[in-house]
Amino acid sequence: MGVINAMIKVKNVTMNYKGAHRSALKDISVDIDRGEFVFLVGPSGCGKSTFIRLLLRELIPTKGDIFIAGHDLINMRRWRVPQLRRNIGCVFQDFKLLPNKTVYENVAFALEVIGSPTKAIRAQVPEVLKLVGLEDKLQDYPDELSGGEQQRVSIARAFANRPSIILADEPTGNLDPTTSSGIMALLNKINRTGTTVLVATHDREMVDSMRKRVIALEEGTLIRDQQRGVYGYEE
Amino acid sequence: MSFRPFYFLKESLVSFKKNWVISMAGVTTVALSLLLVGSFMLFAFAMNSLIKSTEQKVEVVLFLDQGVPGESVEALQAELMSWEEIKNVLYVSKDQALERLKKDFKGSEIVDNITGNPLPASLEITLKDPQKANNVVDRLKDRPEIDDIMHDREIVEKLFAVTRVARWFIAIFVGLLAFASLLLIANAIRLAIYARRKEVTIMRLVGASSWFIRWPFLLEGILQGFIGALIAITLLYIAKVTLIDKIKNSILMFLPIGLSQQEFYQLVFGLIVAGVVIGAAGSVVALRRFLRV
Repeated sequence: MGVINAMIKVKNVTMNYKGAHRSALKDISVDIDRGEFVFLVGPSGCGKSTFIRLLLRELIPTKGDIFIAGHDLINMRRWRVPQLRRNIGCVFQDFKLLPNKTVYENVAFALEVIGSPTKAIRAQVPEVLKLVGLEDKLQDYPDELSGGEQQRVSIARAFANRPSIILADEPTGNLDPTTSSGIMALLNKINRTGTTVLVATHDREMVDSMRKRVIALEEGTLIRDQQRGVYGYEE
Repeated sequence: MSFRPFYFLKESLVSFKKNWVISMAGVTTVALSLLLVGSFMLFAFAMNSLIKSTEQKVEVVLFLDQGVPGESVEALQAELMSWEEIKNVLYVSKDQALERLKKDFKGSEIVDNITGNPLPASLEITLKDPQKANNVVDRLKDRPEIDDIMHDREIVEKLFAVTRVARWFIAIFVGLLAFASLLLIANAIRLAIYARRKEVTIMRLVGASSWFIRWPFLLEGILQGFIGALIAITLLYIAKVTLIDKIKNSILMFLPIGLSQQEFYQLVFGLIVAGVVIGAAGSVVALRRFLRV
């Protein structure tokens, strides 16, 4: 295992969906180190979501290898998958909050279902909600919150059990620019705690202003991997 | 992942209450399906006891030769009793036969016109398995003590052909009904789970184990099946008390449409087990789609 130092290691991965004419991803190789902040950019349909779903082992690639923190995803037993996912926090464009649970309950739920002890939940939930700046809204329901606040709840949920990786799929896709930069700042803050963060986005301004590593996909092919990069597409 | 019964129980009760409209839809489906199966089972039990008692009427009567001495008759009776197909052998003497005739045709001129006793003595055989009647007749027909055997082979065969078909028909129909209700119930549960697919998705994404996700749904399905079965049983019980028992105690008393207490308890037990099993199986089947990794 000593060879694999990267947090996320993707090696010659090709993904063909059943019945599709072309590959969703073609021979992609990427290494992301512990503690990195990476943007995954490209137009809709370029394979960003497929890439994220592969890392969550929702999909298994047609060809190639994927390692997360040294664990081989291709040969991973099914019953191991939940263990993997506990180490990866997910944030989505549509927040995926439970409407009939309060902010507190939404975050606590994520800890309950992985079997955290009640005592730990009572301590961790307020703490992580304070981190995202929602310590005053514990008892609110999602529909009483703004879009930005809802995304903060979902980030709190993803980060509640301190995973080593946060994957965010278009986290600002539904938000206005001001709110978006707040969310990005939050992800940046989480990144500074040592968490590896991967953000799939087509938010040009955000990418250009943050100057982080940029991995660009086009039609399933990796066309650019650049430190302190920019969005770099003409649209 | 440890199994945490109280957490699961709490979760399933809470969700049963929160989604009570959908839960009630499931319960109602179970109740109606089991009611349908149950009432048909009641009918089947009644038919079965009717068939059985009809079959039991099949008996073989041996008319004895006039000159046969008493000890030969006793010997024959003892021998027949030892045959394994035969349940009982009743000796009816000439005098008893005449008595019976007089009783059956009381007040009619037939009785008045009888002089002396023209009736033979007989042995009336009841069989353990009425279907074996023909074998018994075949084995007895050449015995010198016997003058004549009363047994209508053709009627017996026809009767059994009919009862066999009736039994098959009942079995197939109950089977189909049970299958149809299984589908209905699985569908109702699928709806309930579909309504909560978001929760399931989140559970999977944050890394809940498959069984952790399954247990509350499983318990909820069992709860729905159990409550549905109880409702069906209550309705069936009311039907039994107000309809079947009344009929039994009145006009149709002579018809052997019996439903013993024991049979009813069997039915109750069967329906509860069916409700619980179907509820559990339905949730597992319905969840499979949502748990696919």
